[in-house]
Amino acid sequence: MSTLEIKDLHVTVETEDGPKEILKGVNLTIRDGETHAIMGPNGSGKSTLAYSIAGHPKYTVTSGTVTLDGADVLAMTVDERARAGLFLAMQYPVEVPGVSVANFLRTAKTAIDGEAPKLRTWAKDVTAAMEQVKMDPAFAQRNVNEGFSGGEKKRHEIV
Amino acid sequence: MTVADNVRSALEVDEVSSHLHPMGSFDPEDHGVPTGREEVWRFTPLRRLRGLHKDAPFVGGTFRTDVSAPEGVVVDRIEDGSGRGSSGLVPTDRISARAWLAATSTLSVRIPTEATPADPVYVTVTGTGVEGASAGHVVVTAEPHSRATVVFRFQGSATLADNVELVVGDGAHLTVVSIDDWADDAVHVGHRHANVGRDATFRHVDISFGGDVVRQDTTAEYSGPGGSVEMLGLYFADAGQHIEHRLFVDHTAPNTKSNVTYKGALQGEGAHTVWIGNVLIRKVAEGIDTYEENRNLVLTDGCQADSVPNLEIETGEILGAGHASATGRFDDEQLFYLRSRGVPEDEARRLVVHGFFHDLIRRIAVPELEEQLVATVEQELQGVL
Repeated sequence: MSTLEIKDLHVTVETEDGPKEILKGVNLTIRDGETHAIMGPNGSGKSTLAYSIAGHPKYTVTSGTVTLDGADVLAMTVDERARAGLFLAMQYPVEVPGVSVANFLRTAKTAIDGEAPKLRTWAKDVTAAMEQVKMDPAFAQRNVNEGFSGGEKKRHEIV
Repeated sequence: MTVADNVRSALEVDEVSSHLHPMGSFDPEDHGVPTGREEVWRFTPLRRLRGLHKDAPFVGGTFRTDVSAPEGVVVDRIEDGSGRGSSGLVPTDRISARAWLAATSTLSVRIPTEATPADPVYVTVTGTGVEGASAGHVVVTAEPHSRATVVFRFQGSATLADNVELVVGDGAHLTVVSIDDWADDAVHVGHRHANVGRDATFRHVDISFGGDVVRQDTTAEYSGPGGSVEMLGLYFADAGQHIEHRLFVDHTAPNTKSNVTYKGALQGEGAHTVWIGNVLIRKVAEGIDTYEENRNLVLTDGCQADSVPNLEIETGEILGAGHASATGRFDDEQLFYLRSRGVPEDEARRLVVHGFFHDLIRRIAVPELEEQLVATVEQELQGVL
C-alpha cells in the first residue's frame, strides 16, 4: 500500500517582479489504486503541482509537506523521487540530442533497479514494450525525443 | 594586357582579397611582431607563447618523432628542402615564417598513386622539454586516386611551432587526424595547409585535449573543381587552458564543397577556447556548397568561449553557404527530464555531454580512434561531474 500525502503545500516561481505564489495551501491524499483528476482553468497551478512534486528547479516550495508512505519527498533529489516511484508524464517531453533511446532507457533502468539489465533479455524486453504501445523498434536507435511527433514523444514516455 | 590576363584579374584568381588573411611571405621580417591588437592575434595570450611570436631561438631537439606506416606508404626525412611548399603554403604570420626557416629537415609521408593502405599511418610527436623552442615541417602527399588515413599525435612537454602541408591529388581520399594530447605545460602553434585536387576528398579531424596554449591555423584551397573538404573538431579545455582554432577554407575552384563542424566543452577557472571560422567564396567558385558550425558547452563558471564565424562571398552563383555558432551551458530542462526518469545527476550530466559529442565522434569514421576518444572524453569529465 502506497500513499502520497500533500499537506498545505505553498509553491512560488521566480518572475521578473519577484517571487509569485502559485499554490496557496494544497491538500491532497492519494491512496493505492485511486485515480485523481485535477481540473481547473489555465494558470490555476495544475502543472505547478505536478512539477513541484517531481522537483523541477523552477519551483520553490515555501511551506507544506509532501510524503510518500511517510518518507519526505521534498528532501529527496529529483532522481531519488523518480526511483521512489513518482513518475511525471510530461506535457512537453524534452529533446536530448545525441543520446539514443536505447542508451537512455538502459541508463534509466539501471538507475531504478540498481543494476544493469541483462543484455540477453533487455533488447527483447524493450522491443516488446515498444510494440505494446505500437512504436517502431527502430526508434531505439534514434536520439531521445529528437524529431519525434507529439504522439511519438508521449508513447516513448510510456515505454 | 591580353584577354587571358583580363579574365584572370576579373576572376581574382591570384589576388587574395580576404581581409582576414594577409598576403603571405617566407621572410619572418615581413611579418611584424604581434602586439595583441591585430585581428588575428587579439584572442591569443602572447605572453604565454614563450617568445615564439618574437625571436625565441629554435634550439631544436626537444621532441622526438616516431612514424609507423603500413606497407606501401613511403616515409622519408628530407634534408635539402625539396618538396617544401608543394601545398602552396606561404606563411601568413611570423611564427609560421620563423618555423619554416628554422625547421632543418622535412618529414615526408607519401601515399603512392592508387595505393590504399589497410591501416592508418601514425606519426607520434613526443615533446621532451619546454626549455628551448622547436620547429617542425611535415609534407603529406596523397597521390592521385590513393586512399589513406594519417594520424598525428602530440604528447609530452614542448614549445613547438610547425608547418604541415597536405597535398591531396586528383581523385584521392585523405583523412588526417590531429590529436593534441600534450602535457599541461606544452605550447603548440601549428599551421596546416591542404591543397585539394580535382574530385579529391580531404577530411581533417582536429582533437585538442592537452597543452597550456594550443593555437592551430588550418587552411584549405582547391587546385581543381569537384573537391570536397570536411573539417571536424573536438576540444576540451580545462582550467587555465587556451585552445584556439582558426579555420580558413578558400574556395578557389568551382563546384567544390566544404563542411566545418567544431564542438568544444569548457570547464574550470580560466578555460578559454577560440574558434574563428572563415570561408572565402571567390568569383571563380561557382556552384560551391559550404557550411561551418561551432558549438560550445560551458560546464562550469569562469570559462570563456569566443566564436567568430565569417563568410566572404564574391559570387552569388552557388548552391549554398551558411554558418552557425552557439555557446551554452547545461540545459536544466534536459537534466530535469533525465533525472525525473530516475537517472542520478552525475550520470545525467555525463549522458548530456556524451550526447553533445556523440554525433561528431560518429562522423570521424576512423574506427581505431572512436573508442579511445569516448574514453578520453569520459576521463576529462571525471574532474567536473
